[in-house]
Amino acid sequence: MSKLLRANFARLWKNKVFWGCMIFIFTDALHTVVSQYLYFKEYGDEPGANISEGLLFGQTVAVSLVTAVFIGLFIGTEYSCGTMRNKMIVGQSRTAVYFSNLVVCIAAALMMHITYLLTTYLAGLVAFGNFITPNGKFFMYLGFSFIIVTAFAAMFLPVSMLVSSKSSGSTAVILMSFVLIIAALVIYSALNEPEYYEAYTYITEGEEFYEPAMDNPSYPRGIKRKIYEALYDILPTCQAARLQEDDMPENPAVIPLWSSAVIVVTTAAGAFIFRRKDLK
Amino acid sequence: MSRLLRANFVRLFKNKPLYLCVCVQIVITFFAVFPYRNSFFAEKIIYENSLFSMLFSAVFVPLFLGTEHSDKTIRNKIISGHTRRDVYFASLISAAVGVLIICLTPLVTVLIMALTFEGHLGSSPAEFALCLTALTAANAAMCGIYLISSMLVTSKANNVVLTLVIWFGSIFITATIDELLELPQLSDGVLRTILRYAYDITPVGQVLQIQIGECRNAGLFPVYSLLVIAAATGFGTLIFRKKDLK
Repeated sequence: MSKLLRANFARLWKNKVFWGCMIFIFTDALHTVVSQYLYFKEYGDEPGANISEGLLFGQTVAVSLVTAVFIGLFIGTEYSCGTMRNKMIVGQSRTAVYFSNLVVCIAAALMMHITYLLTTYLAGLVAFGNFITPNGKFFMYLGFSFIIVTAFAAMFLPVSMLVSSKSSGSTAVILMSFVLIIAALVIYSALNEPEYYEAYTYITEGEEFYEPAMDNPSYPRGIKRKIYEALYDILPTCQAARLQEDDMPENPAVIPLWSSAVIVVTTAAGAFIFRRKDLK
Repeated sequence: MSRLLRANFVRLFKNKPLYLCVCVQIVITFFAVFPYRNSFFAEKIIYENSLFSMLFSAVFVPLFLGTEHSDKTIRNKIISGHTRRDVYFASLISAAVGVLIICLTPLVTVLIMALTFEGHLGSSPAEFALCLTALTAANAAMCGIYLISSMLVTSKANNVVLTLVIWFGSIFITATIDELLELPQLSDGVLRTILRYAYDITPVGQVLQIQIGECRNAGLFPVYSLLVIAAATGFGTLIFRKKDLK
């Protein structure tokens, strides 16, 4: 497997898409800090309120999108150039091929995430002149964000490894990341809906009208709410949103536990199906 | 050119990504309407779906036209005596028809559901028709932009990624313009005028304005979209004529 890893990393450092993604993430981080700085200049909030964990970990979701682009094209090339089949022919096991690809994809995703964190940190220091104290909460969020980014890579890899066409594989992975982001938005907003609309009185043309309190139809109830709450804990994009919104569950350990479960399940399923895949 | 168009349309109506995009559009629209089936505003669902139409077009256009590069059809067309300009325009027309099918699918779905359930029109029919024309034109303009990359980038996979990045980038840039327009420092001046025009001219900017109910410039949006199509097609044709098709 060490030979596979060496070959993969050699390809990674020369991969234009990887460097393109790194530049995108760098630009995105600068854009985030500059927008926050403009807001700060305008409304004169406390600097500490502007550069916080929310700002630093706020774009973990964006990393999922960039990771999807990278994985789709990087792994797709192995199929289009016949590299995947050659690896088998020279005697490498399918499990070793799968895991070496997983390692390089996780490494690339983490590098993109670290690029975002470092750029935000340094640009934040220049713009605001101070930074959040690296306390226990900061390190906890940092650790969680690393596990979540790892889960993104572990989720996207099976799709890329199982679809032989580079274009279809890339499309499927990128759309999957969009679906996960949209799902996080939908779940987050649904769970934050008020259960009831308060009673209110309004006056039109001198006449007073009274509207009684009523149920909010958008508020998820019963099993639907349970499913939404479970997905809010399980989906890595939802976990990333929780970091951004500083909305940790009562027991924060739920986040890394579910992310680890996602990594284990997707990797096991991906490796299992890949072992049976017809590589033609 | 009529032969090119006929060949493209035959391929279009057998294209699986097109039918897949249409099916997903129907499913998304259905689930957007169904929870509110007892009372919903039809136009709200259609407007909110427009960005998805642009997303699905970003998948469909490169997959549909990328096949021409991967199967070398584009080279065969040139060899058989068609001009590059004709090839480009035939591709534009056929891709635009596909995009219009994708973008009008939610409208048809919502209309059927409005007749079946309790759908209403919140705005006047004239305003609805104006916004719908603007949205359709904006989708066609995005198609013109996607076509540039689809005709110039030979790799199908790179094409898909590029058009998806264009879609995502357009939203990102338009959201930034929107943020900048909110700043009091930019309440007037040349920069504001430029940003305001950029917000009105970009197809995503038009869609976002219609979504939030800012329809005062909607009458001009189709004109702007036509300008975008003309500029994109002019630029695309110019480079495509010089492209090495190997």
